[in-house]
Amino acid sequence: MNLDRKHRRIRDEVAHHISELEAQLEAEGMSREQAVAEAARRFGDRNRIEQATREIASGWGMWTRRADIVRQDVAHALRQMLRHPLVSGLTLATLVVGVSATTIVFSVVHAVVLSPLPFHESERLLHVSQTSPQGRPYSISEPNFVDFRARQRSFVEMAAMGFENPILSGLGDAESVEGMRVSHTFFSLLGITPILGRDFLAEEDLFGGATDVVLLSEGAWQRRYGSDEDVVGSTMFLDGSARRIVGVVPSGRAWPGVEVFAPLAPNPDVFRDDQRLEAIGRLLPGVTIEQAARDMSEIALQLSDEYPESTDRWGAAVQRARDWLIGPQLTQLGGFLLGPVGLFLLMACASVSNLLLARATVRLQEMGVRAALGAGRGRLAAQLTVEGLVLAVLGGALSVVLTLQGLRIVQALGPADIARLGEAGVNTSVLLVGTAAAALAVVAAGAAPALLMVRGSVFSGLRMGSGAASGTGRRFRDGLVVAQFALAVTVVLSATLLTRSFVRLQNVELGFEPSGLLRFAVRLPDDRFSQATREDFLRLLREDVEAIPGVEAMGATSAPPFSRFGPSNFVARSDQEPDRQEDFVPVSWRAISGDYFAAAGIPLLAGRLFGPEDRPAPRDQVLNPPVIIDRALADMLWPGQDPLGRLVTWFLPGGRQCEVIGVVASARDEQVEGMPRPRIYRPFSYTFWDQPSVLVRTAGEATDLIPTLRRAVLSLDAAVPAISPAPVEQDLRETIAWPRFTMQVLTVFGFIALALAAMGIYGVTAFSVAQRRREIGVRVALGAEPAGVHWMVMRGAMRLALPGIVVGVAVSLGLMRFLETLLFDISSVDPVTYLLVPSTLALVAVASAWLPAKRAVRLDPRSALVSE
Amino acid sequence: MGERVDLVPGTLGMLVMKAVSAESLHGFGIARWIESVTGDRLTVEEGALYPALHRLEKRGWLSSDWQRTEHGRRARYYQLTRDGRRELDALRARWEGSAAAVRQVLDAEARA
Repeated sequence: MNLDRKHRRIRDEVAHHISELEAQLEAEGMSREQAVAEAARRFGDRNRIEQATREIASGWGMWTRRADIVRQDVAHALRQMLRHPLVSGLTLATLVVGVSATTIVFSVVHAVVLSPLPFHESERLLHVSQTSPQGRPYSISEPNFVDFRARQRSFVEMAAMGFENPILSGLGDAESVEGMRVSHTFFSLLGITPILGRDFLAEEDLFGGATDVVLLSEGAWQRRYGSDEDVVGSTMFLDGSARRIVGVVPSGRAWPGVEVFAPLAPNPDVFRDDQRLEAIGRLLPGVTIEQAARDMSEIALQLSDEYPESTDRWGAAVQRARDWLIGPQLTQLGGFLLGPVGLFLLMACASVSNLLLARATVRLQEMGVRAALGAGRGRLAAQLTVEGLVLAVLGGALSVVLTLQGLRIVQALGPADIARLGEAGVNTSVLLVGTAAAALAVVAAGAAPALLMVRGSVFSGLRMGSGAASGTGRRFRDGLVVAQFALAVTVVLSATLLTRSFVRLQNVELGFEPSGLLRFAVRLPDDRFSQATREDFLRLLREDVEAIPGVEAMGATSAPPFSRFGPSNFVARSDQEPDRQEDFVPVSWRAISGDYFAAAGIPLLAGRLFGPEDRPAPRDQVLNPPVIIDRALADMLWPGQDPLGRLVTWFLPGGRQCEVIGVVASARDEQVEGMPRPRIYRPFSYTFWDQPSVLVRTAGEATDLIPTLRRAVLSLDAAVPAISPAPVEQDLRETIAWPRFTMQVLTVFGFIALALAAMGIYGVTAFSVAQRRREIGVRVALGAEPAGVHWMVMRGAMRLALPGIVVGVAVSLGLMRFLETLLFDISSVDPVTYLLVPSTLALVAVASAWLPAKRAVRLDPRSALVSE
Repeated sequence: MGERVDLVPGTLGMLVMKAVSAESLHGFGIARWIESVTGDRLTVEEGALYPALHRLEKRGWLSSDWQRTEHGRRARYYQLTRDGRRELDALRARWEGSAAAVRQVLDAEARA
């Protein structure tokens, strides 16, 4: 309607103009008829003028014309791609692989390392630790935390947390749940407010105060209480005692597994060296991290003076909460992944650029013809841009698909302790990076050919014909292939080293037998158990468990294999007892009971195991309690001598002299890498321990026995469930999950790098054969041997691959020291690897160039010569 | 009457705006005015005039309305808007600047 009015207005304007013109011509003396004819002639094509005016008035004309051109260019670009399906396919595949790899890695690193912690102003949050006289960071003890919090002047507030696994009862079978003890300041410090009920009160956080309250996590509230809002005020039983639920907190993003929170209520009278708490603080405005660190160190110094018996020369350190939560491994992995993936995108760019360049050189002629027919440079550049965009859009779409699939695989394979891996997804910033990567790849890759074509060489292209390529273009392409091979060598070398290191890690002699071994824990709390009844419980449990068909042996220990908690102490030969603690030998220790060594599969090398005779009679002070030491400690304390019957002084508690009754093999049951720490074992009876772990040796499929074991434990005491039973093999897998993951990632990278290098050299060789058709045709026509032609083409390819390989090896030698910390039992300049990888790359180069060389040999000289 | 000259490309808009800067004119009147002030040396192509008028109006430099001519015909009259006046001043300054520069070059003593 509006358009109609515009049309009418233009028609009226034109009509008026013509009638004025006629009037003027009549006034100049023409007859009416002459004037009408002359006006029509002068005015020209009335319809066309009206049309042009209408297009401008409506604003459509320019766009429809441009859209038309773009449509033509897109169609042309698609036709071009379809005409050379192999090259187009390679280009697209390279682009998609490069962009997807970048996007996947970025989205993972983004979710896990880069995205902010789910707390209010998380960058102002610090983690505070105590440091040993040797400077190693440790957790904080309850009395020390109370003092740090009372004396500090750097933080708005401090809070501490401790992890625990209370037994939840009263809702079905008793079971162990993940829980935390937290300060009443904890949630407000982090900026987490209860979605139901209230936070802890200050008086609930006082030792001996009204601490029988609990907060539920949102997840537990939904899962266990069906999101019932009336849950606040009701009672739940944790470790047998009633606690009133006061609220529900949304803690899922920070601590996904934790179900219940209890007040910390720190006990000011427990040992100051019983370090179990993690402390955090929120910086006051204007206070720097360095100032906070000084503040904490000063307090540590005061405590060291005030309590020399427990905190002598202990210091304090602070770090950003994110560094503590994310951990050095992830930060390292983040850098470790982003680095190669950046190179990777570069490689993909190089490949795409190479393929485009190769095509561009061939198309110089086409461009020349089009330029000769009057297409402006702008027009040609626009067409090339459209071709690039078509490639980018196709590549981008395929990359999104591949990225989504790849992310799913990464999430399935990644180590379980990557806290926020599950959150990795294709969100806005990830899409931005992906799009930017794709666009960058195409622009960077397309710039060279576009320059080559538009920068005046169009006409020379026409003159030269396709037989002669521009020298700059060729040198550039060749350089790209050399760079690709260098990069491929570097990546494949790293991947191979990590793989070889991982294989050694997997085959390392553990000194015990993880397969068929099950572990779980039992909580035997002080208010229900004495040391004697704990022992009774474990003895009865052993009888019940060993009666289960398929169970061969059961033992208990203070710490199961590969647990995060590895108790340490100091020992020395009693006949050479040093004066100072530093001169004692640091050892790892375990308190064990039952048939521990048989269950774990640790062989006895000399002497005997603990027996009933080692059990102390009540109130009977045994002079020299029995201990068993491992081979490593025996060799360290009594090299070349018999340790049996000798005395060893155990520094804590109280420096008792113990008699060595047996020597067992050393077991790598704390970590797989490195040498195991020397180990000393004592009978469980001598130690106070309320949560022993139980090891069960089974004959067959360990996992199948878990339900039976759970029932056996519960039937002995309905309030004592088996806490998180699992096969030890799974723990082993998790311990080496990081090396495995790094290896897998780099292996995938290695294969992609290989493929890219292969595609690169194939593209360049095939292209050079196509370009030299005439020359080769002449040679063949003049009677050149097929072998000679073949060799000539192969030599061309090798001239690029070999320097690339050499450069890659040199670069790797420089870079590999960064890899050293990740390698186990293999040198970063491992000669086998350094022989294997370059030869493989050379083989890949030969294989990739073989096909085009073959084609060159089969070239029919006649068709080659008449093709131009 | 001098020799006929071609319109310098890109100047039609400026000339049209100048034509309607004093009083509002219809398309035919604009063409006539330009021809008369140049002594018929410069003619305006109708094929270019109307698209130009609509483009300038779309940019907000001209406004238009229907009026009666002195002969009593209904015609579309164009006048310069405030934005158009500013644009005309800018175009004019630029034109005179470049014309002066060209003249300086042409008048300069050529050095051997």
